Amino acid sequence: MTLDPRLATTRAVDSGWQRALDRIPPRLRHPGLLAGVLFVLWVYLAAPNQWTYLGQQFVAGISIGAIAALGGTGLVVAYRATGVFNFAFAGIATICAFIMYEFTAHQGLPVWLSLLIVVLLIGPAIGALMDLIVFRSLERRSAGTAEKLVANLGVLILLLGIGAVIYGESTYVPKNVFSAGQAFQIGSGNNAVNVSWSVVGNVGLVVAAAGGLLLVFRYTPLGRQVRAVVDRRGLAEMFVVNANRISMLSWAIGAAFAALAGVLDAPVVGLQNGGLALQVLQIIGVAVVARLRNIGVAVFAGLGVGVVSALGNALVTPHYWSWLSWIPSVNTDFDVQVPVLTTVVFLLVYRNLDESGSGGIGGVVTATFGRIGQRSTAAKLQSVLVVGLVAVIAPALLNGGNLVTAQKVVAYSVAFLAIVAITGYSGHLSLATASFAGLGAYTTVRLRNGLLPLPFSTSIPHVPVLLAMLIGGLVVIPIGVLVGYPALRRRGLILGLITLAFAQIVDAFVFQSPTWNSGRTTDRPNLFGWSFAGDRTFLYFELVVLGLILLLVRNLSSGALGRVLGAMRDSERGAVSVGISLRRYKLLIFGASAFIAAIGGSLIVQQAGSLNINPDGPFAPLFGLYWFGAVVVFGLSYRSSAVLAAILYIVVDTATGHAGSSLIVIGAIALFVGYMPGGVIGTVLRFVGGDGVGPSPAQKSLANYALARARAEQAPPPGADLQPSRFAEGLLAGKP
Amino acid sequence: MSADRLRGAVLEARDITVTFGGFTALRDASLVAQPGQVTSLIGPNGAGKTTLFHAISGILLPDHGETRLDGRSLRGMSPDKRARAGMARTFQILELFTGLSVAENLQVAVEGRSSNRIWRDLFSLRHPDDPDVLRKVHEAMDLVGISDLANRSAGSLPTGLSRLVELARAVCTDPQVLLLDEPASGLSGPETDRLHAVLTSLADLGLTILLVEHDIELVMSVSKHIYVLDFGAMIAEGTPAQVRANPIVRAAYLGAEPDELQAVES
Ligand SMILES: Nc1ncnc2c1ncn2[C@@H]1O[C@H](COP(=O)(O)OP(=O)(O)O)[C@@H](O)[C@H]1O
Ligand SMILES: [Mg+2]
Repeated sequence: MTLDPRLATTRAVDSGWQRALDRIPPRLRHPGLLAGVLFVLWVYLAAPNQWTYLGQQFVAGISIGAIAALGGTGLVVAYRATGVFNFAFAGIATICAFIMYEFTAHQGLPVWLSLLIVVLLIGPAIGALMDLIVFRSLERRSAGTAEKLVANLGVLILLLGIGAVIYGESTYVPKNVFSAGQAFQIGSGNNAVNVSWSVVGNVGLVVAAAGGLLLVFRYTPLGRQVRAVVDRRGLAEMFVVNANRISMLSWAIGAAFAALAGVLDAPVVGLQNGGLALQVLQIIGVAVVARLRNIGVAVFAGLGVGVVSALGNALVTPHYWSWLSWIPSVNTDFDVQVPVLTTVVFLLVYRNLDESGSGGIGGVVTATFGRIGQRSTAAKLQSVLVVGLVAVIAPALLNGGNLVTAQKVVAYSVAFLAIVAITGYSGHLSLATASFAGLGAYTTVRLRNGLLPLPFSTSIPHVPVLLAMLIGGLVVIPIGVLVGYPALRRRGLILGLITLAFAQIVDAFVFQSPTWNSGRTTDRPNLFGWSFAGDRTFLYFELVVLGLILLLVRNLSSGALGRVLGAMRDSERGAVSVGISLRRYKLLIFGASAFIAAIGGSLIVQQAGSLNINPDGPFAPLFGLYWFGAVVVFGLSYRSSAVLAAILYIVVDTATGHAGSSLIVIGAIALFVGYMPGGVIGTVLRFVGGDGVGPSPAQKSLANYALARARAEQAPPPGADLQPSRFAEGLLAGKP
Repeated sequence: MSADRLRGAVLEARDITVTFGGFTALRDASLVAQPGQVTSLIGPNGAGKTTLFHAISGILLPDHGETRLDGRSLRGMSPDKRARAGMARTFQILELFTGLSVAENLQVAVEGRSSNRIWRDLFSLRHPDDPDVLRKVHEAMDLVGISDLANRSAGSLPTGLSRLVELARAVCTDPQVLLLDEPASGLSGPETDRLHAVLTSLADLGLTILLVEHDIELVMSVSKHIYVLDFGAMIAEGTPAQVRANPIVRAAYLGAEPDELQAVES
């Protein structure tokens, strides 16, 4: 039984399946286990004569899976003890892997010593610092989940920004932590399966670390205290538990596990700033299978995901997947696809994943949206005039590199407006905006090159850029609506995780599709023989598009539609109680936001000339997080913050000459958004007095209506004899 | 509120059972609320009153049992559909649109049910307010006595006023049935008197009102019929006088809250 209104329409029926399921012992009824058993059965049917080969792959899978198990355990520990989902773990893992690399490759420290320093000192120190600087004060201010989440994203963005500035996007080859040499064999002769020291080491670490943690949680006073703090922090504090110490400890433990995962993963997948972080982010699937709570399940899920990926990869070679060959993307990297699909499936399957993650993102958005009414028409006209003049004159004054920078800023402004619409106006946490933009860009270049925007090579006539951009926007709308479906039931963290997984799916199945290695370029639009190819004319073209999109976004926030979206954002229960159909408006805003992002993405690729699908390319999954961070920093519900965010995002990198330096600024500010309701813009507006708003048109017409009624002395409505205004005066006087 | 727009409907909850995990919050609870009068539902904290409201308004799906409106079953209807069918409610834990002004809270309640304006608002340059909507909003604010708050941010109001805004918002949906979950809690003395008057006038206009309230004095004076819920089961019903005299009710309150017993006795 659940109180969620959108869950209330379906109900488990007492079917034969249900009864069959009931006969399985409850402990074994985990859907992950069921999936594993089915998979092994299928492997057996598919490849009965390959046991040695598969055995070797199985061992390799266990080794990779052990790393995932460690990372997943760290996520679960931090989440359990602090209530904050630790997105930053991917950043911690990356930074620690780089530090390890410095120690072993440049300082000449032995691997074992570096490992000890990084995992037992540096990782925990990062965790403890996060607690000291950011989360402790947020907790003291009783900040909401959303504020903590944004701060945590800030840590991730900051760490990856630091990594990007120092190490760029080159790939380094760190030393193995454990020797790749053979530890022992299972079986003998030709049928022997080798087990290397790294397998033994990884598995040993999981057993020791996760097992130790479980024992501590179960059997020590410390563990009991942690659980007490998780359940009721205030209450626990009354009983002399030092909640601060406990939560610092939990952050430290979580970070140590993240460090361990990063250090072990780097030699396997390669040490590259964005690339390693992306790999590590896939571990989220492991934590999700464990319902973000259960360490034991996390360990087995990690091992299971590792084994399934490895066996999947093994089976690609002998073509046991031939029955799936109509999906070209399948013949590729299961290391990526299995964890990502696991994340999505389990996020959708679990109905009550976790209470603390299921709320909206009210803390960040509603606070920013304290704008009652709108500015006066004169003020609006003024600002439209000023902005219009700047838009016309500025391009004429810019030249060379500045012109290119301005082009990028405008293109990103369009894409960032999608975040204002989806999160600022309707309250949905979406971390996939960069992927929607990427799909818009993808459609544009495909159509431009005479290919359908699908992973097959079907030739069609070459489509003009302008039309390709528009089609790109339209094609992405149904995809946005599809991603919006989970939002009918979920908000906040869980929706954020679903959208992040969607971003990874788009990357794995569309951008990284091996069938797609040509046709990634595009030129600039050309209308009625008038070319926008020149840098200045293209900028004007972009500004026109930005103007149109701004108009669309403004329409999403004003009139009846704006009020309905605002109502839905502030209280879904309140909204349904007045008859608003959440489904209609949620799908609408997801579709609209996807459209806007796709148009922005198309502009981005037109500006660049070709689509870069590498981990440092503009639409890689991590970039959705970066974009969200950039807009949050300025204030999610202001249109101007999309433009300011784009300026910060582009100009800082250009000015410093280091890609990623804007991330350091964005991440650092995001740490403290909890202190700045409404972001930078909201805070500034509060300082300059009010938020520059007068009565809205509705309020003015109401006032006029009252005046007119008083003049005409119409018949008073029922209840008017109760002297309403004097009564309300009394209320206001009594309650300031 | 012009009288011709108000038409009550018979609200009937039949054998509603709700369990949370292993805990039975409601066991075969039934009630009937007639148009043109206030029907009250009382009971100690945790008795299941709010849960029954959730089940009736469709926010929560009962294990079994159903709700009927003028004899028509609402089984399988989503909460927003029920709202469009004439059921309005307020919440014990406030559910205002805190980022909107008070007037906008009511405006959205009038407009939100129809989708006519979505496409027009999405693609037009101007979004003028509908004068009919504004008139309705103004009437509702007048009725509840919050006209002076029109331009205040709903998130900035104290609890008592927020409850009045929720009441006005519910009235704005042209309801046939009004479910009010502890509307008087947090209200001052004069505010409660005001609420009393509003409830009476809404009932006189023909609405069906179902009231959950801890202010026993208010309940006794405003209700025609009272149901008493305890541990998820209806233990008594009747006129205020009958309920006041009922020994089972006295025992239930004695077990729970002594100060309320005094209220019952007084
Ligand atoms: N979502 C829920 N999950 C579990 N128990 C709940 C839930 N909602 C209410 N309850 C329990 O159901 C009982 C009835 O609650 P409620 O209807 O809110 O009581 P009342 O409104 O009469 O004070 C209480 O014991 C409460 O703890
Ligand atoms: Mg209640």
